[in-house]
Amino acid sequence: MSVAELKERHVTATETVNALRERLTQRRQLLLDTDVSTYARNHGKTAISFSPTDLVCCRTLQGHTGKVYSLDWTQERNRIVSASQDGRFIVWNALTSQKTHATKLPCAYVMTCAFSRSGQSVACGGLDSACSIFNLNSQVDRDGNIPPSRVLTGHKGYVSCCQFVPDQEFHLITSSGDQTCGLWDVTTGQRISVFGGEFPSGHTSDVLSVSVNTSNSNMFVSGSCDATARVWDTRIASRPVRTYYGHTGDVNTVKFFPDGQRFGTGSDDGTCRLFDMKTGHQLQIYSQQYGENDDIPCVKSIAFSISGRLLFAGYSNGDCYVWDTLLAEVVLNLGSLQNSHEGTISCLGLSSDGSALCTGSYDKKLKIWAFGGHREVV
Amino acid sequence: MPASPSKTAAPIPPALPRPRSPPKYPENCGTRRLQLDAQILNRKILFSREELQSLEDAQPVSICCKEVDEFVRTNADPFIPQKRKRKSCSFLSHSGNSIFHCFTHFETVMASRLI
Repeated sequence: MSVAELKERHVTATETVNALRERLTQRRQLLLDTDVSTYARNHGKTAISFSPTDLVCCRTLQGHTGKVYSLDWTQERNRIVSASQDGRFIVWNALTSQKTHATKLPCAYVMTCAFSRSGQSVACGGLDSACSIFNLNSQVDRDGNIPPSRVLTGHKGYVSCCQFVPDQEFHLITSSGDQTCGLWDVTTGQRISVFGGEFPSGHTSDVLSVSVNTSNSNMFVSGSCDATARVWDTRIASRPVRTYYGHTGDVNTVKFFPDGQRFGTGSDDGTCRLFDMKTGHQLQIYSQQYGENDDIPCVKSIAFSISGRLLFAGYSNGDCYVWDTLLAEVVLNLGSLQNSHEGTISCLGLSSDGSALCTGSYDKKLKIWAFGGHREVV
Repeated sequence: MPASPSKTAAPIPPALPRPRSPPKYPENCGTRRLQLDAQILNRKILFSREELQSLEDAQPVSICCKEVDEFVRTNADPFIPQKRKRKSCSFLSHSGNSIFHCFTHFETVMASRLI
């Protein structure tokens, strides 16, 4: 086929894609009969009300000498691992604030860290395009650092995020600036599957975040600079299960809703959104009003409370909004409370029992928040 | 007297070779790229048609909202102020299994006594 014929086919195919996209938008519009907040209000829901001392910062973890970029809790809920611009990961006892491990990383430019299911291993990845696995029971070297037990190489771009598959100690999912996600066996160091890349219709730009579905660990969601989120089945790497449109900027963070049927996203466009995994519907936008000339802060990280009623969102301007998920209202700003962070909230995560929230910030600290109010008894 | 050109002119040298225009090769540059782009677009068309098909039977957003509401309603949340029936006066029974709630409540009580 000649170049001219190919170009003509290209034009026709592009027109077909655009026409189909338009039909999809219209069809979705017909199904968009309400959203979560309208439904909740129509069914008599009232917003959660917090007094200023209901959510308190009960621990400040200090020790990093650079911005905190990532954090993760263990399953048994009392240890946290954090990774920082200072080129180290630190493991903390969340109850006592003591550091149990502090290791200099082979590559100082770390972007993500995660605990394995057992809490025995930590995975870290970053600008070296690799993910290093550390066994916390290993002997330290003469500098006091734990050497990596395995280095997962294969990505052609930075590793932006990683998470161990919840019910599999040795499987890890990564996201990368090379536009792909990977599923790895950390015992062998082998990449089991690649999700995306140019031909298999994956993301068309850097992938920034992943979240594995705790209700069905074969499924995970990824968020990308191409302004979409995609859900993948780890058993089918050839194509995403579905692509979710709506954001108008990089999708920096994704997190499954606790029921495993929905997921939340946070973006450079300043909004968080809730999507239904099965239908692809956008159920709710969580957005503040800004003036025309205002700088809109980016959403850097999100987490749902254990019931899903609260959505915690960390922003580039230091705000940490607590959204009432059902009514789409901000019920508290942790960033304005006493003893809060003094910079961008870059990462946050909930303990596995949902009783504590840890936030990490560019102010080099981590903070643990819990409910400090009184519960009324009747 | 000038010599007659027909008898004494130097022999005409053979014509110098001239560079020829390059042959018209088929334009392969960019063809591979265009073929790949066409394949990508065809897949996008296929996926879009599949998605349209799936939307024929899809439930409306209101059903999803109902499911979200039901899930939230039926799950307790350590971060949400709640009214609970009195079970005992024990501090520990109010805190449930949450170590952090125990600790925070304890700190709050101690702080209030210092005021």
